[in-house]
Amino acid sequence: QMCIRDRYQRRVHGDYKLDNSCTEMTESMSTADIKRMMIGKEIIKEMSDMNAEMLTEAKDIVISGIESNTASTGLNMEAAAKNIKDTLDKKYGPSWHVILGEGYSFDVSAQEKSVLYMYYNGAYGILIYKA
Amino acid sequence: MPPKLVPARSIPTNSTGKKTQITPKSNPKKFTKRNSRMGNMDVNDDKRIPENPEINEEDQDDMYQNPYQRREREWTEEELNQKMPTKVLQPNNPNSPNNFTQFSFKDRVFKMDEMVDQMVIHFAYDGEFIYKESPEYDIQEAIKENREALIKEAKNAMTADDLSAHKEADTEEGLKKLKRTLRNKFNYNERQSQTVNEVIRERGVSTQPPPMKRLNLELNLWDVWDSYINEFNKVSTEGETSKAQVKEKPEKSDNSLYSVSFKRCLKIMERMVVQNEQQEQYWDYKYYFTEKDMPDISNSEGSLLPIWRITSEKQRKKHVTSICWNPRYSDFFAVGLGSYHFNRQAGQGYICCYSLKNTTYPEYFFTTPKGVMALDFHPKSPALLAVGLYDGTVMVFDIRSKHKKPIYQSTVRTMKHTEPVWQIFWNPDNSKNYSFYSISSDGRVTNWVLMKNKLEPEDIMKLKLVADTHGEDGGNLIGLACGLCFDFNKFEPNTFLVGTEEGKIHKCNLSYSGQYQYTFEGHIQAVYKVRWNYFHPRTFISASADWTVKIWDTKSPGPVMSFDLGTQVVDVSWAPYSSVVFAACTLEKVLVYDLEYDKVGKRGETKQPKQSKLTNIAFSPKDPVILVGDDHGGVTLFKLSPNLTPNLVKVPKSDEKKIGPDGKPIETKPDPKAPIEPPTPEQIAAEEEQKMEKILALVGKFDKDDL
Repeated sequence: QMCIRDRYQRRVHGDYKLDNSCTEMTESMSTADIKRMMIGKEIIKEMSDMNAEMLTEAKDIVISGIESNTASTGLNMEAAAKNIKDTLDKKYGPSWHVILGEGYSFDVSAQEKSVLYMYYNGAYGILIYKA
Repeated sequence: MPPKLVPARSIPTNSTGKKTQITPKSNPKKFTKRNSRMGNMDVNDDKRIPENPEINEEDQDDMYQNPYQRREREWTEEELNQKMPTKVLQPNNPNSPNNFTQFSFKDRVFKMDEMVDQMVIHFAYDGEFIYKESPEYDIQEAIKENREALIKEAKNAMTADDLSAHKEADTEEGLKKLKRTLRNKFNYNERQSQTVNEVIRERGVSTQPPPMKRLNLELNLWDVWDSYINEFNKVSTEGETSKAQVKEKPEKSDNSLYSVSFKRCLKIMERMVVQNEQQEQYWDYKYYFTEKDMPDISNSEGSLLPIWRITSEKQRKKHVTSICWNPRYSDFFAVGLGSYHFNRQAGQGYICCYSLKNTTYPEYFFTTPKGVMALDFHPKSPALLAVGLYDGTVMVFDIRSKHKKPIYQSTVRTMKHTEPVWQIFWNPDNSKNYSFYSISSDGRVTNWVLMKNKLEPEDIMKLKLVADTHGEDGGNLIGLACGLCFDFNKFEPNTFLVGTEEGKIHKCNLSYSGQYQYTFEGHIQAVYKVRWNYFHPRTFISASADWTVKIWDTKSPGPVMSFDLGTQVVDVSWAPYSSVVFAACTLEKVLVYDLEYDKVGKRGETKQPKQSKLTNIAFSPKDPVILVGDDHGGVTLFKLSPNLTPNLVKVPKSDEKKIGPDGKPIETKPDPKAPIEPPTPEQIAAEEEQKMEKILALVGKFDKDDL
């Protein structure tokens, strides 16, 4: 997996330099360092439009779901997704949809104020929404 | 050929009542004109008009018959008389299409069919009569026969069953049963009832669905990577801007703006600018009093010319507590800033090291946790600065060091003073480790030795309280006296004087740490300063809060001379170039005395222009310049007129009695062009000593006379 990521990098970005504002910290770091920095870190994208407390709760549910289903062999995505969906249903009401993966695209209609789109661990993209 | 019919529409007759012929072929009994509403249109072409041959005459105004024609055109006579075009009925259905196109899958092409069904059925009604000879009648008959046959069979079956089943039984019962099954009106009654139907109502509610929105995105690994990188960089730039000011300078080492050589260039530039700007002051500093040749200066009053007031922003709120000239560099001095207030110790103290080459900003600046009370430069290593603070700590700074921290500091564990340290003095003897002395209000005179990584204290003296010798039985006084000042004798390095807050001056010796060698009494209040004479081994001067300055001789128990200055004297200092000149500093002015010139009054004085009290003075060891510190954080530099500094410049060797005022050749010199040998220091010293002796002798004579 790491190879693919690097290959993506090189193929897509080539040797270009990021613009000045971005180069400060990460330019000096090697790829391995950056990946190490990404472990355990999540990024919540702008598309997410939950209100703040629900956002933190949902984020925690997602992270705990992933963590609890990560065995040494890697992440069992189906189990993790099922886990997350069940917890969300219990907590916030029925019909949540959870999509967890490393590369996909989607076009969904979701209820307003119930969407969370986040990246985790530098590898997984998780979309949860209510519909 | 189809019969031709004419639509039977009656046309309103014109005014004349004439009825004209329409067509020769029309029915002669009925001449009807065309309806005016039809207009001039050609009926054949107009397929829209339905051809209805059964219209009544009276329906001329019936709009329903002609839904499309609403014309209300007026017809003229000629038009009315025109021949009607022939109207031909056609069997075509006007509504049917002309042709019919269909895709033939067999030929894979669109095929057009001209033969279109023209039949229109307007009305159809199924009759109730069947023709007897038609096949339908036969079918009907067959059904009827079948039904009759079935009924018969059922009947037979029913009766046969009943009879056969109960053959042995009573036939009457069987008949009864039969009768029971055959329902008739006499045995069988039907009763029905209807319950009340509940009223059924339909209710419906329609809610709005929750607002939905559509999202679509694509997740790629490179997108994830990018967003992580952005996040990290954003965080790091935010963190960096907050720390930027602190870290900026050392990190930009490669930047030529901040390199060391550039700093040095800037420093030189700054000095040049300052010197250009303050050119007058520098000229005064160097050349004032030598240009102006006052004719008879040896017998006149001296004056002090203020040249600079050296201060900076941070210093403004603090008092100057001590000033010390650097022993090696004659333009360099250190100013210690703290506070004399007992209650309001406003936090930090500062040490500012100024150079006269740039009087606008200190060369070195240190902060100390508490106010600085005493300063001293080491005589041999001019970068070492010993500092005493208000809380009793002593520190040693190396002013060259980049981080502004002391290289030594005393703490409670190392027996720091518990009271403010009032004076510090380096031990000029550096055969062993460097050491310095400090005196403090807690009654200890301590010698601090600079060991490898700490200060080693050694109590030289504990100032015991001494009862008044002339007083009544004071009883036993417990505790220690508060030492305020001390001074070591240059000629007898083990002897030193201590001035206390009680007004007594004790002469002590390093070897005898327990007791005083002698106690000089004369001052009533605290003694702020004691200074040995630079040239005369036995004379010293003291300044006290009881408004007096006294000169003492170690031979006599009381003061030899006393000067009343009218207000508190905070500092006194001998001039380093003469044994008979000293300067005393009160709260308002500095007075310079020359004992040879005037044994009673002052020879020169200053007046502080600003509303600040003076706190310290320091003579420059090389130049005729005196520094005066005040309680607004400023240090004023005064230049002494040559009549106050008689020996500072060259003295002609031949002249011992009459001292020339300055180096300029005066009439007493025989040969102005011949080079004048400057006197050697020993000569000066000897001379000065002589002077003092004379004065003492004089004064002693007076005393004896008085007594």
